Amino acid sequence: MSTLRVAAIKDLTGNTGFVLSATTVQTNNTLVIPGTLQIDGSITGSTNSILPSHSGQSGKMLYTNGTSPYWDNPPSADNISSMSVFTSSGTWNRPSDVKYIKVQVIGGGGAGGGHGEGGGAGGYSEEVINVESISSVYCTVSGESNGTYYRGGAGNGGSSSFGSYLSASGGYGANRNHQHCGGLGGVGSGGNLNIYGGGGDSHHGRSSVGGGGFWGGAVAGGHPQGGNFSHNHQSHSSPGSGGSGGYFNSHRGSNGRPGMIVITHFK
Amino acid sequence: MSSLKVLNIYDVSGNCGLTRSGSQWTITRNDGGDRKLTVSTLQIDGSVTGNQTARFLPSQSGQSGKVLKSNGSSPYWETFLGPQGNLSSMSVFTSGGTWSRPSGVRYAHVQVIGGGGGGGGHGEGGGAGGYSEEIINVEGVSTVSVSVSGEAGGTYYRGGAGNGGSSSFGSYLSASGGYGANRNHQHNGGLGGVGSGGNLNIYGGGGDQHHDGGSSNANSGRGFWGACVAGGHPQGGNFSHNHQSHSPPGSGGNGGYFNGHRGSNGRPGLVVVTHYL
Repeated sequence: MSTLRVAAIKDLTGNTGFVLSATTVQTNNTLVIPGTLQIDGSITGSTNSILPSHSGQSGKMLYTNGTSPYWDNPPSADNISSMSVFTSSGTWNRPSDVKYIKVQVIGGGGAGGGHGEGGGAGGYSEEVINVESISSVYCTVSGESNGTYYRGGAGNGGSSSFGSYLSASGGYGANRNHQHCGGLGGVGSGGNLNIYGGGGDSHHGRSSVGGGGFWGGAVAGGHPQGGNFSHNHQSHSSPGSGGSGGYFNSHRGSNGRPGMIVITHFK
Repeated sequence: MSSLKVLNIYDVSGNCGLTRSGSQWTITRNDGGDRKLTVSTLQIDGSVTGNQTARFLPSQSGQSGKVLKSNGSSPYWETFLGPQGNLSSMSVFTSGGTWSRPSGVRYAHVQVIGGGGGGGGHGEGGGAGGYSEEIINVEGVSTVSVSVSGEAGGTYYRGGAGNGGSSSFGSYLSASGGYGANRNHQHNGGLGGVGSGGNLNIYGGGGDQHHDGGSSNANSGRGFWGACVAGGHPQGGNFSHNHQSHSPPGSGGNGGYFNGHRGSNGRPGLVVVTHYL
């Protein structure tokens, strides 16, 4: 006999077997396939033991909710990603996916005097901030402060700040804390780390290199043979550094340097 | 009857059933409709073939510790790096060489300082090296050539001291060296170098100027990593020059006490690479 036409094939007890209709073949118990199962069509049903469809799921990872498997994006890697540098005031906008930032703020340097007195460097503050619920913060960056001839008080450096989170005051100008004395450094506040900048040199018969801050030192000292050397090259110095004192007499102290804000982004 | 041997089993209409071919049984429908097999529990003791293998787990051999991902059409195992993204290590170059990306590292935070300029012989200090800083996604990078400036010679009165050299991290970022004392102008301190190419690019501090009765002051030649070596006095001989290594990378040389004392050498540059997974 080559073909058997029946409505069902059951074992001797009648419990298990195949039920045949004009459109389906159904087993009402476990079907064991000791060898290979070949599927040329699709898979349906309520099982949670097969992988979900791959369509549109490229790059995703398999998760389970305790009942069913599903594809979803891998967890975003928490990581350093980029940095923003403000050398003048402006608005910091949170890049998408950034969760933490490290902010470094330095105030402006105090300016140099005309008898060798150096300005103080800006203070420095540093803080790590969770910015997941923040979209933008206004950054205020100090400009430069003016150096003087003998025997003026040089300009004080201004403050720099990152919103209301942290700020750093400027260094004092030469002769501002006391006549003939170097300017004291500014100080940070509001951050996790808040420190003073270095101070300037005192009154004496030559020039001096101004106070050094977190990012480095002041412009080179000048000699009369170079004219107002320090003042003329004052941009060649690090952010927040104090002004160098002018060589007595009639040489101008260099300007205290503008502040700076550096924001490092972590996803 | 315990066993019935047949080649085909069909429903009573003769449309749908099972047919045998060689060692396989296949669902058959003569009307061309969906040949669907419905089961309550499917037990597979062998393997799965056909066009739905992507719905089953791929081979797990050799894939220990990996997670399953999809490429949009089939599954594959992959090493999971996501939550490990973090600060991991740092490489410090005090001389030139090749930076090789450690396995798994995705971002590098690079800090470059140029070499300091040398000090003069009449109190004139050298300028500090410039400074540059950048965050680089290095996922597609395997090695980068690193150049680090050597030191710049300090001089006796009344020479121009050596200029510091540049340091660089491939073509990504670099920092020029500070000028040697008396190089920008006779009797003047050397100006600092400057960074370029980075996210942050700043000048190094300058050196002290020509003066009597002393070597450079403590603020002279201050770069990102710190200022010049201690000043000397004739009672200490060529104190600054002899102890010049006791000063931070990229700092300018201290000017020698006039006369007969040698300015200290500008310090070599430095490249620091901090790794993030």
